[in-house]
Amino acid sequence: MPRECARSARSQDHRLKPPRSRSALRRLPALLALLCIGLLGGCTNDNRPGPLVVYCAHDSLYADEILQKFTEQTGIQVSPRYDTEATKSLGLVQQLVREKDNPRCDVFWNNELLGTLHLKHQGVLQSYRGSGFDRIPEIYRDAEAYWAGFAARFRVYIVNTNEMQATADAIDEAWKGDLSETAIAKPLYGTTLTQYCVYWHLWGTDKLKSWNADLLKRGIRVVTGNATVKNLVAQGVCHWGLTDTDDFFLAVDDGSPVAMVPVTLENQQTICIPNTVAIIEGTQHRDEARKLVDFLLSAETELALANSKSRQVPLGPVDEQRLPDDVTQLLPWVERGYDLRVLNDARNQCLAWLQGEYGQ
Amino acid sequence: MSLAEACGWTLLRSALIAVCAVPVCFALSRLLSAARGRMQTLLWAVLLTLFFTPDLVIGYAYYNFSLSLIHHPRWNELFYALLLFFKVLPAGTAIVYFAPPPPISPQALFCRRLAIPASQSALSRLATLLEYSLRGSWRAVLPAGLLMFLLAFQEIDLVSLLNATSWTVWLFDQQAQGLPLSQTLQNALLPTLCQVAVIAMVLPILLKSRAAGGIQRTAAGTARGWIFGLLCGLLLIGTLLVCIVPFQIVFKGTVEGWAVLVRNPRLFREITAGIAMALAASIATYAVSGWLVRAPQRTQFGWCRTTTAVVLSLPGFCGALTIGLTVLSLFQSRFLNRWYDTPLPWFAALVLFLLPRAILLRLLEAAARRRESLFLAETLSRSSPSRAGRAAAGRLLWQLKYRGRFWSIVFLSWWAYLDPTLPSLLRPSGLDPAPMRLYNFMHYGQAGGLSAMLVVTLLAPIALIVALSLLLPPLSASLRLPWMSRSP
Repeated sequence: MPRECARSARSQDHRLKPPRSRSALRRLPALLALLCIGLLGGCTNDNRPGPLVVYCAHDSLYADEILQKFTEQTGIQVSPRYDTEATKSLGLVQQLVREKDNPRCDVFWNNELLGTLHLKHQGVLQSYRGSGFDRIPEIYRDAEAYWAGFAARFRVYIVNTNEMQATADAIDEAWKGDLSETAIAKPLYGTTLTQYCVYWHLWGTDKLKSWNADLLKRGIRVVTGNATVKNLVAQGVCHWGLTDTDDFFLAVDDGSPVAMVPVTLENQQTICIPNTVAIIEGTQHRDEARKLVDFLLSAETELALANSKSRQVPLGPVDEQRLPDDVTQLLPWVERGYDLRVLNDARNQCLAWLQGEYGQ
Repeated sequence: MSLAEACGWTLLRSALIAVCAVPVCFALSRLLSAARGRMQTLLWAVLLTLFFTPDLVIGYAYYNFSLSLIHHPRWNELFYALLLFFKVLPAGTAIVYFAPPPPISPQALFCRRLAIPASQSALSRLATLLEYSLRGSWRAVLPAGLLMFLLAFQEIDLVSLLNATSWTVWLFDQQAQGLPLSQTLQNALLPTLCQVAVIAMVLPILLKSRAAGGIQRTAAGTARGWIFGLLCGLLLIGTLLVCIVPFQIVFKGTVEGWAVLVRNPRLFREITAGIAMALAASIATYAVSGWLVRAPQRTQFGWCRTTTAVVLSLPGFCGALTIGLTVLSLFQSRFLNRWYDTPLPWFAALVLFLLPRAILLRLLEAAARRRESLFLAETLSRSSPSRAGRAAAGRLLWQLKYRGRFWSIVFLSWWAYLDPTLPSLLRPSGLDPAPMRLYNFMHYGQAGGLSAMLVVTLLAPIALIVALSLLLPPLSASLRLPWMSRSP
């Protein structure tokens, strides 16, 4: 009896199912197949060239305006791929190395120099000496014209003025004591890595390692990025820290009680980190890429970046009347910039050590 | 911190969250069953809001608070765990609520307990009772607990913004710092194995559970006063922490930052790109899941479909990061390299990411379906002589059949749209989706302009959902959309 009931229920259940629309059923796989064919066939990257592909490590909010202006002036369409804060500019450098044999990118706009040096030594870049190249000081461009720098920022101490004085003496004093109120970004990437590489080059391996160990021992707060350092100091959670001028100016714009002191080396040299631009070897857009490089190395672009919120400092000659005061006061620091061009070996060795020290 | 340490810490946290959340899920499920009318709707609304509040919003809102805890990292970890608890709680509750009735009733269990001979040792008694309980009223413990564990274990967006410890952040950082992809994938093996072990336990149970018919829920008793109060208090705290406070912080910033929208027209292109990709991937995934789930036991190739469903779901259970890295390495290989830097890798990864969720939604849909009512509505739509009658039947059909499918696709699209991990690894040049770009900016801290951009990025798909939910019911009466025509 229970079996009959079950069979009856099943048969009733079967009868309750409404008749299906067979045509709709047939349409579904066809639609899916069409979608897949469209994606597979229509989206291959075999038929380049399309727009000029620019890998850009600079903040998209500022870079977008520059690239749009370039398109307006030249009619050349640009397809940018921006880096993410999470990958801190190393992401694009790694991607370019991986894509070396089959490059997708035409122009690389890096927001620092060491990654670009690495790419040059990996054979990823193409040499180009255009109209903008000569206006950049020699120390900020490659002798073989594989890359050129423009619009720089500086490594600085950011100080919460409610907590301590923003002077070089106060910073020197603060370095000697407990560092639990001091913040620094993880030195695996960005401009903090540059600073460590400078020390590696200047001091040698042992001194840097013991210095770093001492900082950690004295409780320095190692955080994810320069922006976090800026936020910690601006909020008063930490008293002072190491960051860049562009992050410092964001805190100033927010009305935070902060001031800056430049990070200087023994002979009063500053750590001046330019944006860099380079053409990728194997590009199918050579002429367009060259036009973009010329455009980025022009006085017009340097002025635009100087007047943006990040206040980047022009390296070449510009009309100083058109610079904001914040930038004008930084101009003397450019001449005192440490020569970063020699740091490729230091970068590779220092990064290998840091990767062991901070994770891998 | 090494990978093993990060993985161990994440494992411990996720297991603790799951263990703490399971009893709450059961209590909430009872509360939901006992509630009627507006009260039930309100409870569901709260749970769904907790679950669907984007991690981006929560992480962004608590970014400064998390920084303020830098001198107290343990409190920061605890705070993150608390947020995660409230985020995964609704998923577990839904599993418990929609789980088919167990084959062993509480009465039978009681009888079994009486039947255990007194001579049996306490440990043996406990084992027997546990075994029966897990097949009886605790049947949903394992699936609910394991689902919550997986969600907590894979989380990456919130943990990254709150600077807490997790294997996901560790692995992403290593990849970004230049570790070769093959080595990154090797590193991903340990956490993936942890998850696969868990999945191996949960999936058969889930697949088996759908063999049971619709829900025949017995009337639940009302919860005791103090339990009811406790649960309401818990939900209130969760809503405050996960929704109200974060949205208040975001909206406060929005007022100051509207001007940024005018200077940033690119945002609207990025929103469109994100929505288009999310819709394409979720519709395709929903269709595939329908084919995989549709009554396999009744077809000739049923076992094949079940196996395919399990195999295709495995990557999705391992989380966006593992999928993203794997798909990236595949499309950088010589064989697939011609489709690298196209939307295809992102699309494929999204489908894999969404598939287990789509299958789960299909199963929940099937569990909630009322076949008799559906049959009557279908019959009415065909046989009604008057136009008004057919229109009424169409509306009825929407409610009984298509509404569930519509919301399933909405949920899938929402997840796909707000995921920043896959596009950050796989997007083609010039196709940055808005949520990914904003997630990037969020690492710089809070700003008025960013808040305004975030609000627009969230409101755009919500407006689209509202518009579609208003337009589709009348349309469905006359138009059969292709993906709506199969049922599991």
